[in-house]
Amino acid sequence: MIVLLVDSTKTLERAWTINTVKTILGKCNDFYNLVLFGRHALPIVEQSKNLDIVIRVLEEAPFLPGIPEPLRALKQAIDIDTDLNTFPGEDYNIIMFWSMSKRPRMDPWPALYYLISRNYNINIISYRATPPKWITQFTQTYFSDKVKIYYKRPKQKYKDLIRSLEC
Amino acid sequence: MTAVVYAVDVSISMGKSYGDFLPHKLAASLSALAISAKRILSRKGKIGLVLFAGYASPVVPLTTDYNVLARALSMITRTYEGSAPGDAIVESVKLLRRTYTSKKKIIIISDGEFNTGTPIEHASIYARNMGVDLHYVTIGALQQVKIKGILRELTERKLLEWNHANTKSSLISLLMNITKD
Repeated sequence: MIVLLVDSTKTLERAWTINTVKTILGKCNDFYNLVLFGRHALPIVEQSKNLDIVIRVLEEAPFLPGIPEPLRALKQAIDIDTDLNTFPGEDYNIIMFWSMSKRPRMDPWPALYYLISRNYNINIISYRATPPKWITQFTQTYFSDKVKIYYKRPKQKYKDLIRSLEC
Repeated sequence: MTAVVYAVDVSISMGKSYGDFLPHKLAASLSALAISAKRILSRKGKIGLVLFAGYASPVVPLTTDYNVLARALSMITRTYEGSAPGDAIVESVKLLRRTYTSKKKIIIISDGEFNTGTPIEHASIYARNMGVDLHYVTIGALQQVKIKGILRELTERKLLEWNHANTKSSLISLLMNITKD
């Protein structure tokens, strides 16, 4: 199962995000969930085997207002996990596209910890070239090998990392 | 079997000391919580954890593994603005809704503020309708508990049970008493 969390504020790099989703998930045969987030988060595709539906939603989705709050998106992922009554031990993946345009108001660590405890692999793809200064406040040492964050520089490394997420 | 979700207040005021709540109310509450959680787990129960300040978030899914809770407790080092206990109740009920245990309980530990989010009354009705017992434990100075009136009223309406602990040892006793069966 894959849960995509996409920052849909005005900073969304739509074409690039869609291409990246196609690259990563194009060969997957999995269940997809899509949550769009800004100040609030909205689960918009649930347990679909059809990647085209996800792509279509990303193409059409209107921008959401406010500063992106990843905690809201992660909490939607927790709700999906609870509703599906998933079994820890199986392979679950979260891929979050997050602009990191501004420091979020809500600290996401509790939800990250929850999902890690439920055996999720968490990959965060940033639109930024390098880490913002405030990110260290949100990344506990414990998460270092459980939550992977990808920045656009160095370019080759970024490409290689994203390729490593491919099915 | 019992499933218990602890909802702990991490608002700024919890970062202050009071009496034997040392070094501050939050740390003392977490150590009392750990003692009570160990006993629940020794009786084959399940535990979960929710944190709240101006917003609420689940932290520990319902588990029988004490280490998952202990690691989370060690990571709670910051306090935040605001206090939304109603949101914490809603998040706690959501953790419990898919579990099939004979008893479901939420224990809120807070120094008794409410200034944002879901009204406590609405959240407590939701908990009752979902078959969850709600225990509201306030700590510190009783005169500083700003929501005494609503807690008293909701206790009378049997929507929750309110208790107050003004020392760490009385908090431990209260938690042990709430989770004794």
